[in-house]
Amino acid sequence: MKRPALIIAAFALGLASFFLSSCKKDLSAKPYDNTAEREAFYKSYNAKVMAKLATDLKATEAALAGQLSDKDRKEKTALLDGLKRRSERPTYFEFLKPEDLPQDLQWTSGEDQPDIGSPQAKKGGTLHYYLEGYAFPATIRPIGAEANNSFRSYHTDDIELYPVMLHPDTAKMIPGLADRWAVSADGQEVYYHIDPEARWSDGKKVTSRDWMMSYYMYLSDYLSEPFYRNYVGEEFWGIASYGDDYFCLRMSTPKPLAPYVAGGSWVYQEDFFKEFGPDFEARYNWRPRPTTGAYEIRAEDIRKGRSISLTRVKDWWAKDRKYYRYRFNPDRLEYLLVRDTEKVFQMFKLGDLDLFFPIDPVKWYEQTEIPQVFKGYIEKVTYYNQYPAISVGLYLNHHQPLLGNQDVRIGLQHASNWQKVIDFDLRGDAERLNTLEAGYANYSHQTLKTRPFDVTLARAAFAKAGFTQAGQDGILQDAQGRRLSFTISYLKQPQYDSWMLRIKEEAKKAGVEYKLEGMDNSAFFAKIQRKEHEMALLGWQGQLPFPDFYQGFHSKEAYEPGTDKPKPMTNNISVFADPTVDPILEANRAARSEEVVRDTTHQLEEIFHERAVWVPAIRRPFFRTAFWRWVRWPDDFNVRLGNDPQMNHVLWIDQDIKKETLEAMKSGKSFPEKNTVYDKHREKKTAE
Amino acid sequence: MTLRRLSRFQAIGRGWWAFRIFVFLLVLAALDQTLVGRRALAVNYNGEWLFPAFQQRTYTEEFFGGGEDQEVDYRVLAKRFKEENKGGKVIMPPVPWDPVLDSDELQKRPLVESEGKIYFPGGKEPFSGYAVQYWPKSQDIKLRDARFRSGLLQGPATLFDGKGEFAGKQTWFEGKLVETSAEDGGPVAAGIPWVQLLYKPAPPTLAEQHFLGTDSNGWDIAAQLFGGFQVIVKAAFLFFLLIYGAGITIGCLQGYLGGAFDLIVERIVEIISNIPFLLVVIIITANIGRDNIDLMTIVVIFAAFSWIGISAYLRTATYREKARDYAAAARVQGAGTARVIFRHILPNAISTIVTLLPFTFAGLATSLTALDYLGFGLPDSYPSWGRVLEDGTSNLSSPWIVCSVFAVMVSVLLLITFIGEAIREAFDPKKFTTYQ
Repeated sequence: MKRPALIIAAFALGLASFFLSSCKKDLSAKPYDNTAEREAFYKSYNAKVMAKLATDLKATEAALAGQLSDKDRKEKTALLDGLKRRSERPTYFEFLKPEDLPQDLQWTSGEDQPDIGSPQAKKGGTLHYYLEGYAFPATIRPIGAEANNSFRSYHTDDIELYPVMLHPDTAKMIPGLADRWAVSADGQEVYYHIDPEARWSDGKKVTSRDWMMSYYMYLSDYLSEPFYRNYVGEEFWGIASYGDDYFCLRMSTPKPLAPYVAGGSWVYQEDFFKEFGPDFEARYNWRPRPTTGAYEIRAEDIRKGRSISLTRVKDWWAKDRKYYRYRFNPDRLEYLLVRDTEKVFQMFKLGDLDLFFPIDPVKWYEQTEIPQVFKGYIEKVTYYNQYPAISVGLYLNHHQPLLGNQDVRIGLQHASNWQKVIDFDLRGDAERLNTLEAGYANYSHQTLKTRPFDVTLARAAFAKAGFTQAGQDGILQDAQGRRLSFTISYLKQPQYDSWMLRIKEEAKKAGVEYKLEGMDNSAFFAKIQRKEHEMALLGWQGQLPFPDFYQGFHSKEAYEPGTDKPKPMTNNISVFADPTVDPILEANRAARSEEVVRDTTHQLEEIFHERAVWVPAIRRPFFRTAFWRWVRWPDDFNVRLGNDPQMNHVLWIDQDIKKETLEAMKSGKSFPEKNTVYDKHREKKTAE
Repeated sequence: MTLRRLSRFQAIGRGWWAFRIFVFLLVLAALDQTLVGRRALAVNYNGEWLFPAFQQRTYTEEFFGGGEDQEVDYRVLAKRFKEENKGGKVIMPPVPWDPVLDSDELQKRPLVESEGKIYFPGGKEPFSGYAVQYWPKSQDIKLRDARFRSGLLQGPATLFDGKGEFAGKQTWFEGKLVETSAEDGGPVAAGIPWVQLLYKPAPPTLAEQHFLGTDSNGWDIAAQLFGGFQVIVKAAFLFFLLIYGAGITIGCLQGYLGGAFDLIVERIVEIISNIPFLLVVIIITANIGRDNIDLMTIVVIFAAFSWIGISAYLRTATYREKARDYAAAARVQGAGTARVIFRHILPNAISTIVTLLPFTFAGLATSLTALDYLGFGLPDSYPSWGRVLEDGTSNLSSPWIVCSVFAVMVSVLLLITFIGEAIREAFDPKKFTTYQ
């Protein structure tokens, strides 16, 4: 009797799974149109904004009527002023006509900057490279869960155009999707005129409706990352379309370089994202999207688990424009999945990959001493760039009892010997990082130096915190028997292993024990996002044009409101919360002029140095690359503001040279060996 | 009987020799800090003799009149005493390095200049590679960093000012300056000695007492191999206690009691033997954090999976011996279970597992090494052959790493195998007993 029952159960299970799976398929194929939903959202969001404005106004007025200290009164008055100004134009989404445009606008078009790239650039050919991160991307969507993977910059960040772009050498504004733009007198409203020829890669015209769609997406609850909702919701007062060709972005505060900063979010095509809804993540995972940029992904070029290729858009609308004509040269960019650095290196030496970035000094100085280099088939270049430094260092979790103590943190700064890592493990090819946001030229604090490795000073600081007794193993203890022992979480990679061992070895001299916890990528980030780490080795890539401290240090991002529970999923991984620092952070983010950005940045850097919030590690003020000689570059090699020679797409593939080189390799003919240093932008520290 | 076995063992030449060498190695391993370590064996300071290697107490730099409140580096102290020449004396162990977390300063190898060309030390082969010059006034501040091809400057060179900061660049071609960004063209290259910096992994040198060189962390390989051997011996001692204790007890009980007990334990054994061992180690490592693991944890995990083999042998042997008349006789005389098992049956069943002993040791050594090689074993504060091996295979361009660890591993395992072979032969029952 038992057996038939089992068989029936198994059958039913099979049937159920069949139906369930077919259900799923049906769901993703089901057409979805968000037009009505979107229009309803515009209205409801406008109403929500207005209601909030009204209550805020009331609350502030009530507060001002009561007893207040001078400082608070000043703040509240400023707040009230802002609220009043916003109530003059309270709707977030506005649909207007071109006639409604203000008449007194001063339009500019930024056509006076130098060309980018080299006039000698030839179009054509295929660039072979690999998928960074050694893993196949989880999706090619630019937003939503897992979109921010290491491949995104290759198909979105470096490809898509904003209405206004920054010139990568002069840092001045140049046209992107907009051919002219204007800023209102109060500096908060930016008006753009969309280039009449701007087209999506599927041939459709770029219109202001696409921005309305994008802002709807950014504000929608369907998006799992709160970042866009917060940023677009708080930093903007609204978006307005003036017919199809004009639109206006209204920011909550005036910003330097406003047209670039305001327009610095990608635009998504209205028609393509019609199906943006609750299941959009699954729906758009592998759907190639139309782009405004020079390269598109075609459906047939996504070979899962093997490679992804980008193809140059046929008759790209900007191909003859001043700042774009010498860039985006190869016909195809092919990214292969290779799962191991060593294999990437071998493939490069065989010529299967055209480019390689030997960060590891052993690779650069020893393993590239090979015939291909001696005979000039492979060329090497070191390029000193000026780009926001990656803030690599040991981030301390201030929520941990010992690390909450400032003297302990100062001691840890003195006990971490990064200079030895630089001299030994990096062969002097790096500098000591001193500040959180370095590499922003004038904005960065130039004279601040971090605390150097010094056993005596470290021990003095620890003694101040009560750690005076050395245990049997030489590790310091305090009166309660707590040991100076900290776990450092880091990404398990051979180069980090050797850095961390060096740091551990040296810290022992100062009586500190570092326990090393090398983790894989996802486990590491999960732990940090939950704020469960003690110390973590990682770095943030700063974004142009301004430093940003708010995300990393504002108390709002540190704790769940009203509790002492660290807030998960924010970038304040130090769990740093200080109400006296908050106003400076806010001022820095809301700065109206470049001077304010600079002054508050310097002020913040000094505070963070004094409090020893983290242990700065290293920075590399250059990038270096080895490439086969058929990959050609402009005379200056690259642009000043770039952290990767590929990101501005100035290289090209010379087919004739490729043919010549391949023939030379057969016949044994050689070319002069080339190893060039471009140090026009290298900083000289001391001029005696 | 045992004496006869011993004399038979001694008669097997190869095994006996291997055994004596192995015992010698064990004695060496027991000498510990006397042979390998960063602490001095003896220091004569102000006429007083100190023995830091044999004391719990750590001596700070301040103690010896130095500046900092950290443990003194005796290698530096030795140099200082020599320079001061005031009768201070430091006697270091033959290998003056700790196995782990003790890296050397950068080594500098002066290059030879002759007739305008730069040669490797020895003056025969022209130098190709990277070399630096130091400011003549201070030997620590770089002046120029440049590349050579066949003894001549070629390619980019970097200039530094008197403070060691970047001052400009030069480009050379076949020994001639082609281009420079320094205003005065930079200091002249000729006349200032060139030095090659030897980064880790550094080849074996007698001067720095890295007899087998260093690995890519800059840690001494000889010291690591020595420390690794110590760890294996320590682990083996614990391991034998655990698995032989558990294996013998459980195996004998299974064989002697039989019945339901045997049945249940056999099922447990089946379950354990089906758990993938490596996975368990990985899970445990991930949960408690690699740096919190110690030797005991690893050995216990190993033992939890390894007693099964021993117990299986003992179980069958006990089943067999139990049926013998002497076991029945002992029982009739009123001996309890424990007495029958341990006094009467075990001595007759033990010979099979004694022969296993050396092979268990070899098995443990390879498993520990393999685990470290894969990166799941002991934390970095333990010296380990596995990590040296891993380092060697990923730095094949530094052959001294992989060669030394390979040679040591093979020879130790070979010794063990010889011993094992001899023991097996000495304990072979066919040599003594005849069945009737």
